Amino acid sequence: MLRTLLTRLFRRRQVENELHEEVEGYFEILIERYMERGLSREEAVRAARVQFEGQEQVKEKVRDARMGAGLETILRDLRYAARVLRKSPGFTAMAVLTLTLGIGANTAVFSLMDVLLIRPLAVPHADELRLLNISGKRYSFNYPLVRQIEERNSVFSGMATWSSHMVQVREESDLKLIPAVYASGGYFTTLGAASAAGRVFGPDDDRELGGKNGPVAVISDGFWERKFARSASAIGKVLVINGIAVSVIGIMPAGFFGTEVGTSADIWLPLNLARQTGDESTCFASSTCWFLQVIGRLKPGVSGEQANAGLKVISRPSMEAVIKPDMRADRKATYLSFVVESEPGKSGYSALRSRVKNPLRILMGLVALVLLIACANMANLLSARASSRAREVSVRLAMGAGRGRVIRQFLTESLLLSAAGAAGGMLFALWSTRLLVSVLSTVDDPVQLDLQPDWRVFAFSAAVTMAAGVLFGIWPAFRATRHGLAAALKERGHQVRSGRPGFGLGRALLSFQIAISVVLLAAAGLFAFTLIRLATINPGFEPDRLTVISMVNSRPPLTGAPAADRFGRLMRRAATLPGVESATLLSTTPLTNSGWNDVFEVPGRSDLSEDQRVLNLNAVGTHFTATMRVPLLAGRDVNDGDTAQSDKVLLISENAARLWFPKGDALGASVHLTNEPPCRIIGIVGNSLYWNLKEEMPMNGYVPYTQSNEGRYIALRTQAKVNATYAAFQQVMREEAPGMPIGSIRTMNQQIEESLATERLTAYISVFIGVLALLLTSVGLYGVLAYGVTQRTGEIGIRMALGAQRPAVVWLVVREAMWQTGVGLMMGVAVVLSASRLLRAMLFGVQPNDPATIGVTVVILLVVCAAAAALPAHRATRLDPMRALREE
Amino acid sequence: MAKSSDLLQGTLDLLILRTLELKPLHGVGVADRIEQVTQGVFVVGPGSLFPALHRLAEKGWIEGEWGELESGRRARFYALTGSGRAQLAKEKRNWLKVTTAMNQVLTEES
Repeated sequence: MLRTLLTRLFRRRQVENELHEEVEGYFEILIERYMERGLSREEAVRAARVQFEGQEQVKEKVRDARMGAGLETILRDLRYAARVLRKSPGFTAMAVLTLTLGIGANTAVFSLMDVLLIRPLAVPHADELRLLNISGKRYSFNYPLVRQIEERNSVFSGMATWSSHMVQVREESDLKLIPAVYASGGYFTTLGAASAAGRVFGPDDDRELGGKNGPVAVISDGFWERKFARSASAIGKVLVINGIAVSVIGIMPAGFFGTEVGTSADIWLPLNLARQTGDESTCFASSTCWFLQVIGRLKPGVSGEQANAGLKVISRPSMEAVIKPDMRADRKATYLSFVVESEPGKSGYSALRSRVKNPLRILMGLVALVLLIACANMANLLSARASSRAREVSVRLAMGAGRGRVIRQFLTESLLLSAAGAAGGMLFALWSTRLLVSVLSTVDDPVQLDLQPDWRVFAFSAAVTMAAGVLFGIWPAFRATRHGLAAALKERGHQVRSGRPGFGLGRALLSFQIAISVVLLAAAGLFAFTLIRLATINPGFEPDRLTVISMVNSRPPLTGAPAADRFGRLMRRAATLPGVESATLLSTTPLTNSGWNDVFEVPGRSDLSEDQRVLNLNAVGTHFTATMRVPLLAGRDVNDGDTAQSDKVLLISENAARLWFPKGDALGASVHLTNEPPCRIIGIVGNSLYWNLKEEMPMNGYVPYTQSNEGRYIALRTQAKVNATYAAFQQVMREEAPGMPIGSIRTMNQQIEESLATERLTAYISVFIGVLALLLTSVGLYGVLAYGVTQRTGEIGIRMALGAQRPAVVWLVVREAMWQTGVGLMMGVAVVLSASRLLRAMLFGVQPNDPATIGVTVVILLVVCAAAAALPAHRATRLDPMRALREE
Repeated sequence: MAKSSDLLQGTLDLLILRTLELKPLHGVGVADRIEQVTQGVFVVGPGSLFPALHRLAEKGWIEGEWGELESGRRARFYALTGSGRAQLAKEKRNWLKVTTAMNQVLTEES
């Protein structure tokens, strides 16, 4: 079979000749028979022709019937299609651009979905992996609980437990922070990940102070390159990590990034080494310290459901074993209600995933709609073209091509167009996914994704391309061949048409496009509005010219009085730096979704619920209100008199003062934490946001850094130019705290911007999509109207000759546009009203059915449609009636 | 003219295979033979015949070979192959099954 196929392809001429001879021979035999019956040669030929259907048609049918014909005609069709498209470069460019954007936007969003949600980890049999969670809600575990699960486990052949951290590595005299993963002894064997050189570590290495080889580490390919320039002698080298000497025992292959999608670790350290390196060192004995993620590999033959059943059984005894006896009763009940579950862990864990899953799905829906618009546009463009290609079609039909052949030819053209669009779309996607990831990435959470498209992306793109090509090609193809041979040949010599040119589906498509545009623009408006509302929110402090520097505590960490001394000294020196107006310490920087809170006892207010007595807390330095520009409403700031030895004091926010002390006697009153000494309220400050921009104004409390946790951040109120200040501060750090690297230096505005990464991503993409939709729709509308004017040249000419005035002619054209626009707008608004609820969870400060957004959307579309109609209408009025009529 | 459009799908293939079972024939020969045997019920025009012949050759059931007619004209003779013979047997059985079933339905109704 293959041979006949190849023979056919390479010996086409011979095959053609044989076919010709065979058919010709048949014809001759017929002629001879007629001649035997006494007909003359001419009469016989004529009679044979009547009986014979026409040699060319017969040959065409034979070619169609052949199996190998498939490939052969495809090639022929492709060549023909390419020639046709080359002949109209304007149309082709327009079509390819449309499809590039349509397919590219889809490919881009799908690529993100692919890397974040779908792509499996680069380990063998990834589908056996299960990611563990607690009651389907959180993915973090404490160490005692993990040990319990490991001991009682009957469903997993191995478990990988890990925790990601930034660690300090000594480079000559400087300290550098690198991303590390503390991984359990079972981590590499469970994943089935082998090292590219050296060995990975196992349970024997995962010991306090290391196994018999001492503390060990496995490094990534990237780190090997940066630090050791890919030298083979890297194995056995000693790195100083958080002050601990660790020897490199292995190098992972280039594609291995661990289990956390979106991050890239430089180094893997045994989990128990964290006890010495000081990261979470106090966590190992605590059942309230949720710092670990867990992946298990199913035993052979165990299904996901069976695994969950097995985990459910061990949940309660495990929890019972880990909770401390002195835990509060309500918290104990909460802990005991936790059920350990597992979900498919094929694609690992990603902290980013929960944040972007829903936005990505919605964006996927929106870009799919854009592609529909693009297809509708293409369908209209192609069918307008098909009408002008009527003669070509009729010639082909006359040459013996069946209708199916011609339709196939048209489809080949549209598939060729969409393939060109897909190629452009792939480039567009490569470029735009990088852009999108950079929008998602923040200093604290750098997003590192392997954006090389894999086969899924290509398959998706190919499927979308095929579907689009057929979708927009099939209708014009049928339309073009509808009239059949006779009608097609007769057509020519324009007829005077009036009213509606036969373009019904085209009009429907336009209304449909306009409706989708309404939906996409409204969504873009809502998301843009959300972003603007969030970005312009007044957080209660002044974010401009405010810089926050995070400092990483030395290892082993400094605590208590020495810590307070060092941070106090750093704060005081920072305040004297050039360009700094004032400086303070913070234990928590606002709007990063991190911090701590606690429940206070308010004497005489037993009527307040627990929720009403919670304060979000921050340990602050002197000049806190001046630096943050939080108004000090009453009392005083933290000052140098507040020390570890002096009375405990507290500043509270205005809303807490109002709620707790409605009579206005907050100042000087005392509140206290359970079982702790009373805190005197020394000041009342303005309300400000704590966790994030979306929260209701929370109740906050501020305690002196000397009386609480050590500070981790220095906040600087600066003048406009800060570069010299930053350099000077780094010098101060080197002098005052040589063991403490700087984690990050950011302005508060950067920090706020980064906290809006997801919202920004959503808003940017949806606005891009909305504008794209608008553009495509206006081009589509323009195209259809312009085509209508061309087709109705005769009619318009007659009307003008009969005395129709310009407004009447304009009306003729605009009337059509108005119809489609009106219907489209109504459909679109109806969809928005009924479906925008779906977006509610992603909106802030704007209702899904926001009348202003919908109103503006409708106005924008009306303006754009009017603009699209203006040009063809104008052209119609410039027709010269005489010329138009003469053309008939 | 050609009544092939009235033929059941696949019937033409069966007719051709059956016709070639006796001896190799060229295109005109096949058409003549079918017309003759069916006493003019089936007239196969070249527009149906050639595609069918090529399709069957493609499937390997028949084989085309250039030969000479008595008049000295070159013509392509088609012969049944081994797998064509097997196919013919299969199609015959199918056909009998279908016609028996149809007959039963029709006679029962009347």
